[in-house]
Amino acid sequence: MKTETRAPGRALTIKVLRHNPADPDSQPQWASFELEEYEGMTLFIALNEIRDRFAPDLQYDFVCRAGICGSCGMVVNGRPGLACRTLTSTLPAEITLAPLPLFKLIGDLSVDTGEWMRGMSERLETWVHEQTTPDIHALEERMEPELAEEIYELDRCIECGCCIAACGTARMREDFVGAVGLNKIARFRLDPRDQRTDADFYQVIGDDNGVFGCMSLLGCHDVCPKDLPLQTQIAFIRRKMVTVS
Amino acid sequence: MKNSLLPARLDLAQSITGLVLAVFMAFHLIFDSSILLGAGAFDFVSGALEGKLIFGEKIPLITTAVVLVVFAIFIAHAGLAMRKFPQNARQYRTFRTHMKEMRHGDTSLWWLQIWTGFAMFFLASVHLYIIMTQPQTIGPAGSAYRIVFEWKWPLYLLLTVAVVLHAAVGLYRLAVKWGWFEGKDPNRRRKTLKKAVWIVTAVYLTMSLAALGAFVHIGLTGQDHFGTVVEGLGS
Repeated sequence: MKTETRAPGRALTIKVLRHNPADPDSQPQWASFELEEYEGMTLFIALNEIRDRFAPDLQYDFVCRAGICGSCGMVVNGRPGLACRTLTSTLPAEITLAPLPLFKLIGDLSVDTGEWMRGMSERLETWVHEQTTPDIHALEERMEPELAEEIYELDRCIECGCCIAACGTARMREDFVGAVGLNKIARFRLDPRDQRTDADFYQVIGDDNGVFGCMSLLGCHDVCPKDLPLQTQIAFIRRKMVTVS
Repeated sequence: MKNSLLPARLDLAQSITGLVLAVFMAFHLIFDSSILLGAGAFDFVSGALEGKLIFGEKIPLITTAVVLVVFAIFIAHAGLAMRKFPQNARQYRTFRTHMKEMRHGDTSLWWLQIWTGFAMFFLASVHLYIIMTQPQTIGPAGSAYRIVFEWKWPLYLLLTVAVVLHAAVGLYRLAVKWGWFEGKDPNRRRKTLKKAVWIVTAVYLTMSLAALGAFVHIGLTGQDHFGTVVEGLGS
C-alpha cells in the first residue's frame, strides 16, 4: 500500500514586529521565524504554528478563522489584511507581519479596534434614529427584499480596521472617520426606519474629518476583505452631502 | 454645534476649478501643438484665438483677459488643494512611510499630484505672468525667441511634464471621487479609467514635447521643420 508523502513546501521566513506595551522594558523589534509551507496554509495557521513551536507568548487575535469576525486584521507585507483569509501561497517567501497602525496596541499583532470603532460609532451615531418609541409587541414594518439586500450589503462590514490602516488620510489625520464610518452612514441613510435627513447626516460627516476629508486614495476599497463597495458609497455620500450645502 | 456648509463648498470648488483647468489645458496644449503643422498653422491658431477672424487683426488684450481669469482659477485651485497637503513633518513622514509600505497605485498617484502641483505653484506662475503681460509676443517667431533666447525651454519642459501628469491624474481622481462613469462594474471601469490616464498622458506628453522641440528648432534655425522661414525672430 502506498503512503502519500507531502512534497516539501517553500521555506518561509515570517518576520513579526513584536512589542509588549505593558512591559516597560519592551522595545519594538522584528522576530524572525522559519516555517515550511504546505498547501492551504493561511497566515493564521502559520501564526499558530509559530506560537506552538517557537513563541508561546506571541499575541495575535482570532475568533472565527473564516473572515467573519474581523479580529485577525494585521499589516501583511505593508498592506492590511486578515490573517485567516490570506494564503501564504499568495505571498513571497519572506513575509512581514505588523500590527494595524492607529489602533491601541495590546501586544505584538493584537490591537484594540473596539475602542476606535466605539468612538467612531458614538461620534457618527451609527444606530437607527426613530422619532417614536417602537412598539416591541407589534410586527416590524415590512421592507422590500431589494432594499433589505442593499442594506445588508453594507452591513457586511466586520469592523476589522483594515480600511483605516490602509487610508493615507486617516494615517495623517487621526480624527478622520474613514471608510468604515462613511459606509455606516451610507447604511443608515438607506434604512427607512432611520428618520434622519441628509441635513442631519451632514452634521456628523459634513466636515474635513468626515466625507470632505476623504482624498479618494481608495486604499480602503482595495484592501477591504469583505469587498464592500466603498468607492461607490463614499462618492455617493459625498454627492449627497454636497447637495445639502 | 452645527457643521458649517463651508467644507462642502470648498470641496466642490476644488473639484470644479481643477476640472476647468484640466479642460483648459487639454485645449491649450492642442493649440500649442499646431506648431507641429508648421509656423503658418500656429500663426493661424494664435491669431484666431486673439480674435483675428472676427476683428480682422489680433487683439492681444483677449489673451491677457483669458490668462487673468485662468490665473485666478489657478490660484484658487492651488489654495484649495493646499488644505490636503501634509501640514507638518509628522504628517509628511507618516504618509511617505505609509505609501512606501502599501505600494498602492492610487495612494502613490496622490503623492505624484502633490509634487506636480507644488512644482506648478512656481512654474505655471512664471508662465502665466509672462503671457499675461506680453501677449503681443505670441506667434511662431516670438514664442520661439522666448523659448530659446530667453531660456524658457527648461521651464516649459518641466511645466509640460508636471501639468500633463497633474491634469490626467487629476481627471481620473475626480471621476473616482464623485463616482462618475462607474457603470455597472465600478472596479473594471476604474481599471479602464486608469489605463486611459496613461494613454492620455503619453499622447499629450509626446505631442507637447514635440511642439516644444519644434519651437526650439525655429529658434535655432530660423525656420520651421518644413523649411518655411519664420520672419521676425529676435524682434
